[in-house]
Amino acid sequence: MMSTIFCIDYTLLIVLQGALLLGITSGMLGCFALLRQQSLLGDAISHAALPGIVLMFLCTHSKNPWVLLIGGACAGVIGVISMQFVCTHTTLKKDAVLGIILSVFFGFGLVLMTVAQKVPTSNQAILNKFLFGNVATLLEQDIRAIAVLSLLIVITLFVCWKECVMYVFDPLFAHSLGFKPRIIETVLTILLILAIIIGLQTVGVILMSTMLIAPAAAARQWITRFGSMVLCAALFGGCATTLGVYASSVIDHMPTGPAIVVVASCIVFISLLCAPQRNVAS
Amino acid sequence: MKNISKISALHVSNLTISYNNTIVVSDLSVTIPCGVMCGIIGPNGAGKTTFIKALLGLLPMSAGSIHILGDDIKNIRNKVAYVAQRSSVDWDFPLTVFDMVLMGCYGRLGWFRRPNATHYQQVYDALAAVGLLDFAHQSIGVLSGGQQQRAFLARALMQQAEIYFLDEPFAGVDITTEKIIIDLFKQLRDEGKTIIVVHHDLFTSATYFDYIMLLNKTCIASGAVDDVLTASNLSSTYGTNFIPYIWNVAQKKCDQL
Repeated sequence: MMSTIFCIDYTLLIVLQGALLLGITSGMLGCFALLRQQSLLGDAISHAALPGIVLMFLCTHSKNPWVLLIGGACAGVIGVISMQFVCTHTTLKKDAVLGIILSVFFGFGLVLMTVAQKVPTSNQAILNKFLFGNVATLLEQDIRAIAVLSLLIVITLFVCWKECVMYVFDPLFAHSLGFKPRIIETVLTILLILAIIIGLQTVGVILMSTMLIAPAAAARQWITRFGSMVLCAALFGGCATTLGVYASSVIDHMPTGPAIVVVASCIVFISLLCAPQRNVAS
Repeated sequence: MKNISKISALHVSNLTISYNNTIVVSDLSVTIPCGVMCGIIGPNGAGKTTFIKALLGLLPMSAGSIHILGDDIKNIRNKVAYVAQRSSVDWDFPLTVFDMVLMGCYGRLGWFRRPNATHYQQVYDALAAVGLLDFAHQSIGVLSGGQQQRAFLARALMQQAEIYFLDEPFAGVDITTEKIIIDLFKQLRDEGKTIIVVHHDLFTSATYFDYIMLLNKTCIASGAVDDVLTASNLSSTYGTNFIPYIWNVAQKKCDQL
Protein backbone atom coordinates (compact mmCIF):
# COMPACT_ATOMS: atom_id res chain seq x y z
CA MET A 1 0.00 0.00 0.00
CA MET A 2 2.71 2.40 1.06
CA SER A 3 4.81 1.49 -1.94
CA THR A 4 1.98 2.24 -4.41
CA ILE A 5 1.47 5.68 -2.94
CA PHE A 6 5.20 6.26 -3.02
CA CYS A 7 5.25 5.08 -6.62
CA ILE A 8 2.52 7.50 -7.68
CA ASP A 9 4.17 10.38 -5.90
CA TYR A 10 7.50 9.56 -7.48
CA THR A 11 6.04 9.50 -11.01
CA LEU A 12 4.18 12.71 -10.35
CA LEU A 13 7.34 14.32 -9.05
CA ILE A 14 9.21 13.39 -12.23
CA VAL A 15 6.41 14.70 -14.39
CA LEU A 16 6.12 17.93 -12.42
CA GLN A 17 9.83 18.59 -12.89
CA GLY A 18 9.45 18.31 -16.65
CA ALA A 19 6.40 20.51 -16.64
CA LEU A 20 8.09 23.14 -14.50
CA LEU A 21 11.09 23.32 -16.86
CA LEU A 22 8.75 23.63 -19.86
CA GLY A 23 6.81 26.44 -18.18
CA ILE A 24 9.99 28.35 -17.34
CA THR A 25 11.65 28.12 -20.76
CA SER A 26 8.54 28.79 -22.81
CA GLY A 27 7.58 31.69 -20.55
CA MET A 28 11.01 33.27 -21.02
CA LEU A 29 11.11 32.85 -24.80
CA GLY A 30 7.50 33.90 -25.10
CA CYS A 31 8.51 37.39 -23.91
CA PHE A 32 10.85 37.77 -26.87
CA ALA A 33 8.22 36.46 -29.30
CA LEU A 34 5.49 38.67 -27.83
CA LEU A 35 7.55 41.87 -28.00
CA ARG A 36 8.78 41.09 -31.51
CA GLN A 37 5.05 40.87 -32.36
CA GLN A 38 5.65 37.32 -33.51
CA SER A 39 3.43 35.46 -31.07
CA LEU A 40 2.01 33.30 -33.83
CA LEU A 41 5.44 32.23 -35.07
CA GLY A 42 5.55 29.68 -32.22
CA ASP A 43 2.12 28.42 -33.23
CA ALA A 44 3.24 27.94 -36.81
CA ILE A 45 6.47 26.18 -35.78
CA SER A 46 4.72 23.77 -33.42
CA HIS A 47 2.12 22.84 -36.02
CA ALA A 48 4.87 22.52 -38.62
CA ALA A 49 6.64 19.99 -36.37
CA LEU A 50 3.86 17.40 -36.73
CA PRO A 51 4.70 16.09 -40.23
CA GLY A 52 8.38 15.84 -39.18
CA ILE A 53 7.44 13.73 -36.17
CA VAL A 54 5.23 11.39 -38.18
CA LEU A 55 7.73 11.09 -41.05
CA MET A 56 10.41 10.18 -38.53
CA PHE A 57 8.07 7.51 -37.17
CA LEU A 58 7.39 6.14 -40.63
CA CYS A 59 11.12 5.93 -41.29
CA THR A 60 12.24 4.46 -37.95
CA HIS A 61 9.08 2.89 -36.38
CA SER A 62 10.67 4.09 -33.16
CA LYS A 63 8.68 4.77 -30.02
CA ASN A 64 11.45 6.85 -28.50
CA PRO A 65 9.91 10.36 -28.42
CA TRP A 66 13.30 12.09 -28.81
CA VAL A 67 14.03 10.31 -32.08
CA LEU A 68 10.67 11.54 -33.37
CA LEU A 69 11.27 15.05 -31.99
CA ILE A 70 14.47 15.35 -34.03
CA GLY A 71 12.20 14.96 -37.06
CA GLY A 72 9.87 17.56 -35.52
CA ALA A 73 12.72 20.03 -35.04
CA CYS A 74 13.85 19.59 -38.66
CA ALA A 75 10.29 20.17 -39.89
CA GLY A 76 10.10 23.27 -37.66
CA VAL A 77 13.27 24.64 -39.24
CA ILE A 78 11.91 23.88 -42.72
CA GLY A 79 8.69 25.65 -41.72
CA VAL A 80 10.58 28.80 -40.67
CA ILE A 81 12.73 28.80 -43.80
CA SER A 82 9.71 28.37 -46.08
CA MET A 83 7.94 31.20 -44.23
CA GLN A 84 10.90 33.51 -44.88
CA PHE A 85 11.08 32.35 -48.49
CA VAL A 86 7.40 33.03 -49.14
CA CYS A 87 7.62 36.39 -47.33
CA THR A 88 10.55 37.67 -49.39
CA HIS A 89 9.47 36.27 -52.76
CA THR A 90 5.77 37.14 -52.76
CA THR A 91 3.71 40.18 -51.83
CA LEU A 92 1.77 38.19 -49.22
CA LYS A 93 1.58 39.74 -45.74
CA LYS A 94 3.21 37.98 -42.81
CA ASP A 95 -0.01 36.90 -41.10
CA ALA A 96 -1.22 35.25 -44.30
CA VAL A 97 2.09 33.42 -44.70
CA LEU A 98 1.96 32.21 -41.07
CA GLY A 99 -1.59 30.94 -41.62
CA ILE A 100 -0.67 29.15 -44.82
CA ILE A 101 2.45 27.45 -43.43
CA LEU A 102 0.64 26.44 -40.24
CA SER A 103 -2.30 24.80 -41.98
CA VAL A 104 -0.34 23.26 -44.87
CA PHE A 105 2.17 21.57 -42.54
CA PHE A 106 -0.46 20.52 -40.03
CA GLY A 107 -2.78 19.12 -42.69
CA PHE A 108 0.13 17.23 -44.23
CA GLY A 109 0.98 15.87 -40.77
CA LEU A 110 -2.58 14.62 -40.21
CA VAL A 111 -2.56 12.87 -43.59
CA LEU A 112 0.73 11.19 -42.68
CA MET A 113 -0.79 10.11 -39.36
CA THR A 114 -3.51 8.23 -41.21
CA VAL A 115 -0.79 6.49 -43.19
CA ALA A 116 1.06 5.71 -39.97
CA GLN A 117 -2.03 4.00 -38.50
CA LYS A 118 -1.72 1.31 -41.20
CA VAL A 119 1.90 0.48 -40.35
CA PRO A 120 2.04 -3.08 -38.95
CA THR A 121 3.41 -2.19 -35.51
CA SER A 122 1.81 -1.15 -32.24
CA ASN A 123 4.08 1.82 -31.67
CA GLN A 124 1.91 4.44 -33.41
CA ALA A 125 -0.02 5.11 -30.20
CA ILE A 126 2.85 7.42 -29.29
CA LEU A 127 1.89 9.78 -32.15
CA ASN A 128 -1.42 10.68 -30.53
CA LYS A 129 0.28 12.13 -27.49
CA PHE A 130 1.96 14.75 -29.65
CA LEU A 131 -1.43 16.16 -30.63
CA PHE A 132 -2.73 17.12 -27.17
CA GLY A 133 0.21 16.16 -24.99
CA ASN A 134 0.36 13.37 -22.46
CA VAL A 135 2.60 14.02 -19.58
CA ALA A 136 1.97 10.66 -17.92
CA THR A 137 4.35 8.93 -20.30
CA LEU A 138 7.34 11.13 -19.39
CA LEU A 139 10.20 9.04 -18.02
CA GLU A 140 13.23 9.97 -15.99
CA GLN A 141 15.47 10.04 -19.07
CA ASP A 142 12.99 12.39 -20.76
CA ILE A 143 13.31 14.78 -17.84
CA ARG A 144 17.08 14.65 -18.15
CA ALA A 145 16.85 15.56 -21.84
CA ILE A 146 14.39 18.35 -21.06
CA ALA A 147 16.71 19.65 -18.33
CA VAL A 148 19.69 19.73 -20.71
CA LEU A 149 17.70 21.59 -23.38
CA SER A 150 16.30 24.05 -20.82
CA LEU A 151 19.74 24.74 -19.45
CA LEU A 152 21.01 25.33 -22.98
CA ILE A 153 18.21 27.85 -23.59
CA VAL A 154 18.75 29.70 -20.31
CA ILE A 155 22.53 29.88 -20.73
CA THR A 156 22.27 31.13 -24.32
CA LEU A 157 19.78 33.80 -23.29
CA PHE A 158 22.04 34.85 -20.42
CA VAL A 159 25.14 35.07 -22.62
CA CYS A 160 23.44 36.97 -25.47
CA TRP A 161 21.12 38.94 -23.19
CA LYS A 162 22.12 42.48 -24.15
CA GLU A 163 22.24 41.69 -27.87
CA CYS A 164 18.83 39.98 -27.82
CA VAL A 165 17.05 42.70 -25.84
CA MET A 166 18.53 45.43 -28.04
CA TYR A 167 17.54 43.54 -31.20
CA VAL A 168 13.98 42.96 -30.01
CA PHE A 169 13.56 46.63 -29.03
CA ASP A 170 15.29 48.29 -31.97
CA PRO A 171 16.66 46.01 -34.72
CA LEU A 172 17.65 48.96 -36.90
CA PHE A 173 19.80 50.42 -34.12
CA ALA A 174 21.39 47.03 -33.40
CA HIS A 175 22.25 46.80 -37.10
CA SER A 176 23.71 50.32 -37.10
CA LEU A 177 26.04 49.28 -34.25
CA GLY A 178 27.29 46.39 -36.36
CA PHE A 179 25.34 43.53 -34.74
CA LYS A 180 24.09 41.45 -37.66
CA PRO A 181 20.29 41.19 -37.24
CA ARG A 182 20.25 37.84 -39.03
CA ILE A 183 22.54 36.24 -36.42
CA ILE A 184 20.46 37.38 -33.44
CA GLU A 185 17.24 36.51 -35.25
CA THR A 186 18.54 33.00 -35.97
CA VAL A 187 19.63 32.46 -32.36
CA LEU A 188 16.21 33.52 -31.06
CA THR A 189 14.40 31.33 -33.57
CA ILE A 190 16.54 28.28 -32.73
CA LEU A 191 15.84 28.81 -29.03
CA LEU A 192 12.13 29.09 -29.82
CA ILE A 193 12.23 25.79 -31.73
CA LEU A 194 14.05 24.11 -28.80
CA ALA A 195 11.43 25.37 -26.34
CA ILE A 196 8.69 24.03 -28.59
CA ILE A 197 10.45 20.66 -28.83
CA ILE A 198 10.46 20.50 -25.02
CA GLY A 199 6.76 21.29 -24.93
CA LEU A 200 5.42 18.98 -27.63
CA GLN A 201 5.24 15.86 -25.42
CA THR A 202 3.63 17.72 -22.56
CA VAL A 203 1.28 20.20 -24.20
CA GLY A 204 1.04 18.94 -27.78
CA VAL A 205 1.36 20.69 -31.14
CA ILE A 206 -2.10 22.25 -31.13
CA LEU A 207 -1.90 24.14 -27.84
CA MET A 208 1.86 24.75 -27.59
CA SER A 209 1.54 28.39 -28.65
CA THR A 210 -0.43 29.16 -25.48
CA MET A 211 2.64 28.27 -23.44
CA LEU A 212 4.59 30.90 -25.36
CA ILE A 213 1.98 33.65 -25.44
CA ALA A 214 -0.01 33.38 -22.19
CA PRO A 215 2.74 33.71 -19.53
CA ALA A 216 4.44 36.54 -21.46
CA ALA A 217 1.18 38.42 -22.03
CA ALA A 218 0.25 38.08 -18.36
CA ALA A 219 3.72 39.18 -17.20
CA ARG A 220 3.64 42.27 -19.46
CA GLN A 221 0.56 43.44 -17.54
CA TRP A 222 2.44 43.66 -14.26
CA ILE A 223 6.03 44.49 -15.19
CA THR A 224 7.72 47.49 -16.85
CA ARG A 225 11.29 46.20 -17.16
CA PHE A 226 12.23 43.55 -19.63
CA GLY A 227 14.46 41.46 -17.33
CA SER A 228 11.80 41.32 -14.62
CA MET A 229 9.16 40.56 -17.23
CA VAL A 230 11.12 37.51 -18.40
CA LEU A 231 11.45 36.25 -14.80
CA CYS A 232 7.77 36.91 -14.13
CA ALA A 233 6.76 35.07 -17.32
CA ALA A 234 8.96 32.14 -16.25
CA LEU A 235 7.15 32.12 -12.89
CA PHE A 236 3.69 32.28 -14.49
CA GLY A 237 4.66 29.57 -17.00
CA GLY A 238 5.98 27.35 -14.22
CA CYS A 239 2.78 27.80 -12.19
CA ALA A 240 0.54 27.09 -15.17
CA THR A 241 2.35 23.90 -16.17
CA THR A 242 2.71 22.45 -12.66
CA LEU A 243 -0.90 23.17 -11.71
CA GLY A 244 -2.13 21.88 -15.07
CA VAL A 245 -0.07 18.70 -14.83
CA TYR A 246 -1.26 18.13 -11.28
CA ALA A 247 -4.89 18.56 -12.38
CA SER A 248 -4.47 16.16 -15.28
CA SER A 249 -2.88 13.54 -13.03
CA VAL A 250 -5.61 13.57 -10.40
CA ILE A 251 -8.59 13.87 -12.79
CA ASP A 252 -9.18 10.77 -14.92
CA HIS A 253 -8.81 11.09 -18.70
CA MET A 254 -7.88 14.76 -18.47
CA PRO A 255 -5.34 15.47 -21.26
CA THR A 256 -2.39 17.52 -19.97
CA GLY A 257 -2.23 20.18 -22.70
CA PRO A 258 -5.79 21.46 -22.28
CA ALA A 259 -5.47 21.40 -18.48
CA ILE A 260 -2.33 23.57 -18.65
CA VAL A 261 -3.98 25.92 -21.13
CA VAL A 262 -6.97 26.44 -18.84
CA VAL A 263 -4.70 27.37 -15.91
CA ALA A 264 -2.60 29.67 -18.12
CA SER A 265 -5.73 31.38 -19.44
CA CYS A 266 -6.91 31.99 -15.87
CA ILE A 267 -3.58 33.73 -15.11
CA VAL A 268 -3.95 35.90 -18.23
CA PHE A 269 -7.56 36.70 -17.38
CA ILE A 270 -6.70 37.78 -13.84
CA SER A 271 -3.75 39.85 -15.11
CA LEU A 272 -5.88 41.64 -17.68
CA LEU A 273 -8.45 42.49 -15.03
CA CYS A 274 -6.31 43.28 -12.02
CA ALA A 275 -2.88 44.55 -13.12
CA PRO A 276 -2.30 48.13 -11.96
CA GLN A 277 -1.95 50.76 -14.74
CA ARG A 278 -2.67 48.36 -17.60
CA ASN A 279 -5.93 46.68 -16.53
CA VAL A 280 -9.02 46.64 -18.71
CA ALA A 281 -10.61 49.56 -16.87
CA SER A 282 -7.69 51.97 -17.29
CA MET B 1 33.46 75.55 -38.77
CA LYS B 2 36.45 74.49 -36.77
CA ASN B 3 38.78 71.57 -37.10
CA ILE B 4 38.13 70.86 -40.75
CA SER B 5 40.51 68.05 -41.50
CA LYS B 6 41.64 66.97 -44.92
CA ILE B 7 39.56 63.81 -44.83
CA SER B 8 35.93 64.55 -45.64
CA ALA B 9 33.28 63.33 -43.23
CA LEU B 10 31.26 61.88 -46.04
CA HIS B 11 32.22 61.15 -49.61
CA VAL B 12 29.62 59.56 -51.86
CA SER B 13 30.05 58.96 -55.55
CA ASN B 14 27.49 57.80 -58.10
CA LEU B 15 25.25 56.18 -55.50
CA THR B 16 22.12 54.43 -56.77
CA ILE B 17 19.63 52.71 -54.49
CA SER B 18 16.59 50.79 -55.67
CA TYR B 19 13.84 49.42 -53.54
CA ASN B 20 11.25 46.96 -54.88
CA ASN B 21 12.48 47.65 -58.44
CA THR B 22 11.94 51.41 -58.04
CA ILE B 23 14.95 53.69 -58.15
CA VAL B 24 14.82 55.82 -55.00
CA VAL B 25 18.19 57.52 -55.23
CA SER B 26 20.01 57.74 -58.52
CA ASP B 27 23.59 58.64 -59.40
CA LEU B 28 24.11 60.72 -56.25
CA SER B 29 27.50 62.25 -55.59
CA VAL B 30 28.27 64.51 -52.65
CA THR B 31 31.10 65.44 -50.31
CA ILE B 32 30.54 66.82 -46.82
CA PRO B 33 33.51 68.18 -44.86
CA CYS B 34 34.26 67.37 -41.23
CA GLY B 35 33.09 69.65 -38.42
CA VAL B 36 29.86 70.96 -39.95
CA MET B 37 26.20 70.84 -39.05
CA CYS B 38 24.75 69.67 -42.32
CA GLY B 39 21.06 69.59 -43.16
CA ILE B 40 19.81 67.21 -45.83
CA ILE B 41 16.77 69.00 -47.23
CA GLY B 42 14.25 67.87 -49.79
CA PRO B 43 10.53 67.28 -50.38
CA ASN B 44 8.61 64.28 -49.08
CA GLY B 45 9.53 61.11 -50.94
CA ALA B 46 12.85 62.56 -52.11
CA GLY B 47 14.71 59.55 -50.67
CA LYS B 48 16.22 61.28 -47.62
CA THR B 49 15.64 58.42 -45.16
CA THR B 50 16.66 55.83 -47.73
CA PHE B 51 19.85 57.79 -48.43
CA ILE B 52 20.83 57.99 -44.76
CA LYS B 53 20.07 54.30 -44.18
CA ALA B 54 22.23 53.38 -47.16
CA LEU B 55 25.07 55.53 -45.80
CA LEU B 56 25.01 53.39 -42.66
CA GLY B 57 24.95 50.14 -44.60
CA LEU B 58 21.41 49.36 -43.43
CA LEU B 59 20.13 49.11 -47.00
CA PRO B 60 21.91 47.53 -49.96
CA MET B 61 23.03 49.90 -52.70
CA SER B 62 22.73 49.08 -56.38
CA ALA B 63 25.77 51.06 -57.51
CA GLY B 64 28.31 53.61 -56.37
CA SER B 65 30.59 53.98 -53.38
CA ILE B 66 30.31 55.47 -49.90
CA HIS B 67 33.22 56.58 -47.73
CA ILE B 68 32.73 57.86 -44.20
CA LEU B 69 35.83 59.50 -42.72
CA GLY B 70 37.66 58.07 -45.72
CA ASP B 71 36.81 54.51 -44.81
CA ASP B 72 34.16 51.87 -45.39
CA ILE B 73 31.27 51.96 -42.90
CA LYS B 74 32.02 48.37 -41.82
CA ASN B 75 35.41 49.42 -40.39
CA ILE B 76 34.31 52.53 -38.53
CA ARG B 77 30.91 51.69 -37.07
CA ASN B 78 32.07 52.83 -33.64
CA LYS B 79 32.76 56.32 -34.95
CA VAL B 80 29.25 56.68 -36.35
CA ALA B 81 26.02 57.24 -34.42
CA TYR B 82 22.59 56.86 -36.00
CA VAL B 83 19.36 58.27 -34.62
CA ALA B 84 16.36 56.92 -36.52
CA GLN B 85 12.92 58.55 -36.58
CA ARG B 86 11.45 58.04 -33.15
CA SER B 87 8.39 56.32 -34.60
CA SER B 88 10.69 53.44 -35.59
CA VAL B 89 10.44 51.77 -32.17
CA ASP B 90 7.63 50.61 -29.88
CA TRP B 91 7.58 53.08 -26.97
CA ASP B 92 5.36 50.71 -25.00
CA PHE B 93 8.33 48.33 -24.72
CA PRO B 94 9.14 47.38 -21.09
CA LEU B 95 12.38 49.34 -20.69
CA THR B 96 13.47 52.18 -18.44
CA VAL B 97 14.98 55.31 -19.98
CA PHE B 98 18.29 54.29 -18.36
CA ASP B 99 18.21 50.82 -20.01
CA MET B 100 17.50 52.34 -23.39
CA VAL B 101 20.27 54.94 -23.24
CA LEU B 102 22.70 52.28 -21.99
CA MET B 103 22.29 50.52 -25.35
CA GLY B 104 24.37 53.34 -26.83
CA CYS B 105 27.57 51.76 -25.48
CA TYR B 106 26.82 48.26 -26.81
CA GLY B 107 28.63 49.00 -30.05
CA ARG B 108 31.83 49.89 -28.18
CA LEU B 109 31.46 46.78 -26.01
CA GLY B 110 30.89 44.36 -28.88
CA TRP B 111 29.46 40.85 -28.50
CA PHE B 112 28.96 39.36 -25.02
CA ARG B 113 30.78 42.03 -22.98
CA ARG B 114 28.68 43.65 -20.27
CA PRO B 115 28.54 47.34 -19.35
CA ASN B 116 30.10 48.34 -16.01
CA ALA B 117 29.95 51.24 -13.54
CA THR B 118 31.85 53.56 -15.94
CA HIS B 119 29.18 53.07 -18.58
CA TYR B 120 26.41 53.62 -16.03
CA GLN B 121 27.98 56.97 -15.13
CA GLN B 122 28.15 57.88 -18.83
CA VAL B 123 24.41 57.17 -19.09
CA TYR B 124 23.70 59.66 -16.29
CA ASP B 125 25.97 62.23 -17.98
CA ALA B 126 24.18 61.76 -21.31
CA LEU B 127 20.77 62.04 -19.64
CA ALA B 128 21.89 65.20 -17.87
CA ALA B 129 23.03 66.68 -21.19
CA VAL B 130 19.53 66.30 -22.65
CA GLY B 131 17.72 67.27 -19.44
CA LEU B 132 16.17 63.86 -18.73
CA LEU B 133 18.00 62.92 -15.54
CA ASP B 134 14.75 62.89 -13.56
CA PHE B 135 13.31 60.28 -15.91
CA ALA B 136 16.28 57.88 -15.71
CA HIS B 137 14.48 55.12 -13.86
CA GLN B 138 11.05 55.63 -15.35
CA SER B 139 9.55 53.54 -18.10
CA ILE B 140 10.11 54.85 -21.65
CA GLY B 141 6.33 54.68 -22.03
CA VAL B 142 5.85 57.87 -19.94
CA LEU B 143 7.98 60.09 -22.23
CA SER B 144 6.38 62.76 -24.40
CA GLY B 145 7.34 63.07 -28.08
CA GLY B 146 10.07 65.61 -27.40
CA GLN B 147 11.42 63.61 -24.48
CA GLN B 148 11.50 60.47 -26.64
CA GLN B 149 13.63 62.37 -29.15
CA ARG B 150 15.98 63.55 -26.38
CA ALA B 151 16.27 60.00 -25.01
CA PHE B 152 17.23 58.85 -28.51
CA LEU B 153 19.80 61.63 -28.64
CA ALA B 154 21.21 60.62 -25.24
CA ARG B 155 21.62 57.08 -26.56
CA ALA B 156 23.54 58.49 -29.54
CA LEU B 157 25.76 60.55 -27.21
CA MET B 158 26.64 57.30 -25.41
CA GLN B 159 28.18 56.08 -28.66
CA GLN B 160 30.88 58.79 -28.40
CA ALA B 161 30.92 58.97 -32.17
CA GLU B 162 32.71 61.28 -34.60
CA ILE B 163 29.77 61.59 -36.97
CA TYR B 164 26.10 61.76 -35.99
CA PHE B 165 23.40 60.89 -38.51
CA LEU B 166 19.93 61.94 -37.42
CA ASP B 167 16.63 61.33 -39.20
CA GLU B 168 14.09 64.13 -38.59
CA PRO B 169 15.06 64.93 -34.99
CA PHE B 170 12.93 68.10 -35.02
CA ALA B 171 9.72 66.48 -36.25
CA GLY B 172 6.90 67.13 -33.79
CA VAL B 173 9.04 68.19 -30.82
CA ASP B 174 8.39 70.97 -28.31
CA ILE B 175 10.38 74.23 -28.16
CA THR B 176 12.41 73.12 -25.11
CA THR B 177 13.54 69.99 -26.94
CA GLU B 178 14.32 71.96 -30.10
CA LYS B 179 16.55 74.33 -28.16
CA ILE B 180 18.30 71.50 -26.28
CA ILE B 181 18.97 69.64 -29.52
CA ILE B 182 20.33 72.71 -31.33
CA ASP B 183 22.59 73.64 -28.40
CA LEU B 184 23.85 70.08 -28.23
CA PHE B 185 24.58 70.06 -31.98
CA LYS B 186 26.56 73.28 -31.66
CA GLN B 187 28.51 71.90 -28.73
CA LEU B 188 29.32 68.70 -30.65
CA ARG B 189 30.34 70.68 -33.74
CA ASP B 190 32.62 72.86 -31.63
CA GLU B 191 34.25 69.65 -30.38
CA GLY B 192 35.01 68.85 -34.03
CA LYS B 193 32.23 66.29 -34.58
CA THR B 194 30.15 66.24 -37.75
CA ILE B 195 26.35 66.29 -37.59
CA ILE B 196 24.28 65.26 -40.57
CA VAL B 197 20.56 65.77 -40.19
CA VAL B 198 17.65 64.82 -42.41
CA HIS B 199 15.25 67.74 -42.18
CA HIS B 200 11.95 68.40 -43.91
CA ASP B 201 11.42 72.07 -43.06
CA LEU B 202 13.14 74.36 -45.56
CA PHE B 203 12.41 77.51 -43.60
CA THR B 204 14.20 76.58 -40.40
CA SER B 205 17.14 75.00 -42.23
CA ALA B 206 19.05 78.27 -42.70
CA THR B 207 18.99 78.96 -38.96
CA TYR B 208 19.76 75.40 -37.81
CA PHE B 209 22.58 74.43 -40.15
CA ASP B 210 25.80 75.84 -41.55
CA TYR B 211 25.97 73.41 -44.46
CA ILE B 212 23.13 72.24 -46.71
CA MET B 213 22.61 69.38 -49.10
CA LEU B 214 19.54 69.60 -51.33
CA LEU B 215 18.23 66.15 -52.18
CA ASN B 216 15.59 64.98 -54.60
CA LYS B 217 16.46 61.54 -55.97
CA THR B 218 19.96 62.91 -56.47
CA CYS B 219 22.08 65.65 -54.94
CA ILE B 220 20.87 68.95 -56.43
CA ALA B 221 23.43 71.10 -54.62
CA SER B 222 25.59 71.07 -51.53
CA GLY B 223 27.68 73.68 -49.75
CA ALA B 224 27.43 76.62 -47.35
CA VAL B 225 23.88 77.80 -46.67
CA ASP B 226 24.00 81.05 -48.67
CA ASP B 227 25.53 79.39 -51.72
CA VAL B 228 23.01 76.58 -51.83
CA LEU B 229 19.66 78.16 -50.95
CA THR B 230 19.19 79.97 -54.25
CA ALA B 231 16.04 80.24 -56.32
CA SER B 232 17.34 78.01 -59.10
CA ASN B 233 18.51 75.27 -56.71
CA LEU B 234 15.24 75.33 -54.82
CA SER B 235 13.17 75.12 -57.98
CA SER B 236 15.26 72.13 -59.14
CA THR B 237 14.59 70.47 -55.77
CA TYR B 238 10.97 71.34 -55.16
CA GLY B 239 9.75 72.05 -58.72
CA THR B 240 9.15 75.41 -60.39
CA ASN B 241 5.64 75.80 -58.97
CA PHE B 242 7.11 75.84 -55.55
CA ILE B 243 8.95 79.14 -55.84
CA PRO B 244 5.93 81.49 -55.64
CA TYR B 245 4.67 79.37 -52.76
CA ILE B 246 7.96 79.70 -50.88
CA TRP B 247 7.92 83.38 -51.51
CA ASN B 248 4.42 83.72 -50.09
CA VAL B 249 5.19 81.73 -46.97
CA ALA B 250 8.46 83.56 -46.45
CA GLN B 251 6.71 86.90 -46.71
CA LYS B 252 4.02 85.82 -44.30
CA LYS B 253 6.73 84.82 -41.86
CA CYS B 254 8.38 88.23 -42.30
CA ASP B 255 5.04 89.95 -41.73
CA GLN B 256 4.54 87.99 -38.53
CA LEU B 257 7.92 89.09 -37.26
